[in-house]
Amino acid sequence: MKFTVSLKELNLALQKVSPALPRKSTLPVLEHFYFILEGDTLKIVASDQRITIMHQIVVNQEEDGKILVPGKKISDIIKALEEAEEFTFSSDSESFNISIKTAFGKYSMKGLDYHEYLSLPELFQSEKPDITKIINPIDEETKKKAALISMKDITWAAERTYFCVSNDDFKPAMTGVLFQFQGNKVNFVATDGYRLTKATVLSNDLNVFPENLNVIVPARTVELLRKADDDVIISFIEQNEKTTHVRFDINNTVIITRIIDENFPKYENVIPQDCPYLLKVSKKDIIPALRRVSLFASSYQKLIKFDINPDSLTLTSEDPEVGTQAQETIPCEFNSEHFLIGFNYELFLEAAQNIEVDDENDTLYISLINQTKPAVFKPKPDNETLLMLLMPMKIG
Amino acid sequence: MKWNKIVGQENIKIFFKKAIKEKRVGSGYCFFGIEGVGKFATALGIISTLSCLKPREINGFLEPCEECNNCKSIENLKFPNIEYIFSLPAGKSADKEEDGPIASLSDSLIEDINLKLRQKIANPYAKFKVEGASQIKIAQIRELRKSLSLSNPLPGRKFVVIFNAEEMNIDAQNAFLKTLEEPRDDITFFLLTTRREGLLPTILSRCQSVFFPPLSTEEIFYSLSKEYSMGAEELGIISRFSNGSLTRAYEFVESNLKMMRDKMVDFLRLALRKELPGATLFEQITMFAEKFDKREAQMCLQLLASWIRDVLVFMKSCDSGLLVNFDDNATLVRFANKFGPKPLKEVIEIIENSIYMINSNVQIPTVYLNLFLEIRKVLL
Repeated sequence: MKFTVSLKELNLALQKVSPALPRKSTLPVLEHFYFILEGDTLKIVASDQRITIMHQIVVNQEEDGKILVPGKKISDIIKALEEAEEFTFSSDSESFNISIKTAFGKYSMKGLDYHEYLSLPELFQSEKPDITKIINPIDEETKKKAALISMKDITWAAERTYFCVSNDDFKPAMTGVLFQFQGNKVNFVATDGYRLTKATVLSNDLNVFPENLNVIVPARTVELLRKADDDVIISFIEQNEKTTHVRFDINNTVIITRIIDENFPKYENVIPQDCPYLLKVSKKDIIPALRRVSLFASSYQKLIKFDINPDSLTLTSEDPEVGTQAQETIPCEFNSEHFLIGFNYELFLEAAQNIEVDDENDTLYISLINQTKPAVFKPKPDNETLLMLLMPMKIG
Repeated sequence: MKWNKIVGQENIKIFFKKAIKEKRVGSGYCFFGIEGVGKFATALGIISTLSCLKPREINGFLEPCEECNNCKSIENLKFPNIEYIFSLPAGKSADKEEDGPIASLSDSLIEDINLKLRQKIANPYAKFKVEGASQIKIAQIRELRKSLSLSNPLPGRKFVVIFNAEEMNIDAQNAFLKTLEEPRDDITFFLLTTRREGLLPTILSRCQSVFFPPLSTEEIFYSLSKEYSMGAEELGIISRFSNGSLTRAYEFVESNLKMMRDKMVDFLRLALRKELPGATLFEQITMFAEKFDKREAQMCLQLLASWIRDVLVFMKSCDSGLLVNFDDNATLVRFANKFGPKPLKEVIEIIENSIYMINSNVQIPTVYLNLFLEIRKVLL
């Protein structure tokens, strides 16, 4: 294999695939990038057996070939070669020696035979779905298996749900985000048992989503989607008529992930339908006030009491163990008389920060039922695209 | 891994061959029995047969082809549908969540683990022990749970093999219980253990226990004679010494068994001299400490125990066919005549206690000196 490429481009490409390169593994081949050069396309693959990423770039090809390149070594040398503008990469298919030449230096290392790499059928046997077929709803077959989501929508949905994922291994279904395809919309749902967020992306006329398809995508993959830099084509890979992998095509990058093979909790039942009370409060008021008051709350219990009146909201916290107390009152609008409820301040802050509000006053709409039922956060009362639930805490 | 590579254990092989044929392989098995009787070999046989893409039917039962992609990737450790769990040494930041338990280990240790695992798969009877490791920690079970919650990387069944399952600490066992309690129908667990009582009863009750009896001397002899070109006499001694464990037999092959035993018999002679041998004793004990490591020092003691056992057997039956040390009859007979009426069983107990002491990291010279004095106390 021999090619010349600009350093910047290769560096970017390696950064794209690096998240799938395990830092250490009992399988040494996994600590390598798999370089495949065919014509002027260089494909770079990394996999940790859970996530596989492939990125392709255009290079000046001199000789085709395939080789496994030590992952850490090549990343490090490329980072350190800042001054060189381009370099020539060549490898020998028999001795597996790799050499890198720049205008001022020459570096060599030992690679591995590409036959040693994992077989990765999910990557090499699946294909990028044809966009025209996804957009054209006549084709039933593709319609079932692929969807196109714009960059804006996917990064928004990933950002809104990612923080809510549980890291409890005993609830594996909750350690990922549910992608729920329903007719003309797709719901992205995450929960950790104390809170839940649901972000909905609606399809436009050109784009039809698969029918009734649910997959739980691991949190790590959702984190990668947060950084998507182009529209995403999602397709599903089946083995023995069971969906086992999800493939994301983002421009020149392919991310393939194993899915969480568990049943997601029936979250619909938890979302309250009729909430008699509605609290309107400005984010500009409540977030700083909450931050101040939380400094005096018990760091173990994390409880802050919300004493709500028709035009004022009083936040109180105390830590009897060290004898601290705090109280602040901010303006609000409430559609009833006195109401008392307690929340974990960390979870409340995260929910309030992750709701984007679009009106000038920065108003947050929180629907309440009673002291034990979840509170519903929305950017607007009639907004159907974003919803967050937060369980209240018992007030002692 | 073909079925005929598993030494002996015919009943167990038939049991699993039938289970595979009738598609009723269970979700959890606890294989127990002494080291080196084919627990891992059998697990590997089952896994290969179930994962093979082109299994062949021989005598009505399925056999893996050893040629397809899956069979090959099982051999070189790259089959993603198998997870191996084994004790790991404590790393610097042992229980850091994100990177998993492997990340805190040094590169050379990972290399060593990889090599040993490969050897174990190439020869399932090889000894598998990661240096400095004594516990399977909860972080490993958590990582396993994470990985098991994901869809299977390749179509077909997924397998989890836990080496020395009794090394799971109590937290790990409880965490593992949760995994075992709600089995997915496409996962099979193999818990391999030499001490079944080291596992929680709650874990055992969720597994099918399969006892692997020690191999017969003939089976070990036959299997050694296929691999090594040693004389029949020496192989005969080794296969008798190995107590039904092929792993132990391999260890004996590698070390000079006869020399070790002769050294121990010399040591016994020294212990039974009327006067206390000052300088010679010191020389002998230093020699043991310098020449043998912990494992070999224990092996020497086992050899001595089996020699004393032979004396007892010979006294009862006078049948030299039952002896392990059949090559050195004359010394045995002389010893039996002289010390026959003495409490030889006690001597065996003393030796066993010495083995235990070495296991508990008592210095080798101390153990041997203690052995020397104790034997004198009982026999003189």
